[in-house]
Amino acid sequence: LKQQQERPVHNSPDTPWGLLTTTPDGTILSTNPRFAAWTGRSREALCDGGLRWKQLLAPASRILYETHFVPRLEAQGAVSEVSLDLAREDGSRFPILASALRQADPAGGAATVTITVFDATETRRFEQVLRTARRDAEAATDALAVSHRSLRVEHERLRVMLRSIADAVITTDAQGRITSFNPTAQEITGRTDAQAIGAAVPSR
Amino acid sequence: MRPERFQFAIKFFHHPPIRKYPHHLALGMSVLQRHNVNRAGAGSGRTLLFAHGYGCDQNVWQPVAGALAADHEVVLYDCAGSGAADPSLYDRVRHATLDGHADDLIAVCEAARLDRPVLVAHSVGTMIGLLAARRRPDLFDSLVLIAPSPSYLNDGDYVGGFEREDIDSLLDTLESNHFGWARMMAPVVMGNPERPELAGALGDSFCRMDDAVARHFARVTFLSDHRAALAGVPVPSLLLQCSDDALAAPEVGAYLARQMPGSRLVQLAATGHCPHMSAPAEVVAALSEFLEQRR
Repeated sequence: LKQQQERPVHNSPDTPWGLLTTTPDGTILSTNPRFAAWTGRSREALCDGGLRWKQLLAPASRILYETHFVPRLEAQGAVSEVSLDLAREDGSRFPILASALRQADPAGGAATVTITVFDATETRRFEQVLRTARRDAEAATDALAVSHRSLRVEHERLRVMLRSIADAVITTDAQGRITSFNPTAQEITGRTDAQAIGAAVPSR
Repeated sequence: MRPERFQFAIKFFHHPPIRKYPHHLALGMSVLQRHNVNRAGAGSGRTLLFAHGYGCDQNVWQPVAGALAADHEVVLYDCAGSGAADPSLYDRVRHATLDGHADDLIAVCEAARLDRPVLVAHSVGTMIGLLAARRRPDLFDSLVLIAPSPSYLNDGDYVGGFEREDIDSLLDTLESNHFGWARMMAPVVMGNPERPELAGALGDSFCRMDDAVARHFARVTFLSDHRAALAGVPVPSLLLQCSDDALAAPEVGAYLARQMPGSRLVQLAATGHCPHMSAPAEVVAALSEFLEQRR
């Protein structure tokens, strides 16, 4: 398994993405210098201690790893572009997109998992802007729903009041056609509201 | 007035209604259809009902249920909000606690007319099963709880493993994974040269979840505390504790074993949170031994 470390791509300090190989249970076998730098640890510390790479993740990302990443990798043999956070030793977070592919050993040995890791700092900043906008929109929608509800309550209160009032109340539009006709008005004029609405104001 | 109503009726019937008016369509569906209940096997053994955990669906049971189907009847279902369960089943009020899911589990047992099954549950499914068994001990023979935890939050002496802000940040992480560039939640079908049988079988629906449901269900799962429910579990339980499980540390398994007098704790060599997928043989062996005693 150590021969994984001899692959040139793993040793080049110029590779712009992180790369690691692990056993199927996530124990790190090798990493490239870029990934080690992102985690704030040395390659030796990552590879020689029997460390599982989920231990490098922030707590929330560890939950996502166990509940989403692993089941997909187990069932499908591959996982694409999962958004996770690395927890650096100084306590800061480093946002990444990780993809994994499980590969059988052609010689019949244990399978290995190759994981590629991209820096998602910019992506995450952009997401934060989108998320704020979305939450503002959701809050505005909620506020509208609340004021809509209180308007309906007020409307219902006035409607009941109009229906039960002893005075005849008739409203009209600009042309003088009736738009509402309360029960007292119906009683006094002897017309139903269906007959009255749209007609001109009755004279007694 | 009238024409408007008529137009509404036309709209209703001619729009693709699956997402928009699911409750109308669901009226004709049975509990078994709405929970995508599947049964297999038979044999002389017991009936095993499998309850999956957060984030996935009944497909996770394929390796274990497949092996046990030779001797037992195996029954699988998708819980509300997951897999191929009817999307309209998920109700943010009813499923604001795990009790709503426990009601669903009871409904599945009754609709499928299961004869006192052994409930095999994983992750949050374990607490759903436990609540169901407390309410209806007559329905279950026993519980097998894989990687269980009654509460994920640290609280005084209790080590749940996480702080409140970790769960808040989980909701952000889930949201981040639903943006277009993170493809995890999107349908991805990839060939797996090592296990080609899985590629076609799972298709593109494997562990897919609606964005809003994923966050709501996460909050319900990871912020609920069922420690008070442990003492009153009226059926025998087998607890399978994994090694190096980020969601359920050894302290959690030990705590459960102490709090549940009728339980037996078995430590698995399997690492991670999903031994039924990563080490199915070990899980099948532990289950078979337990089933032998329950004969």
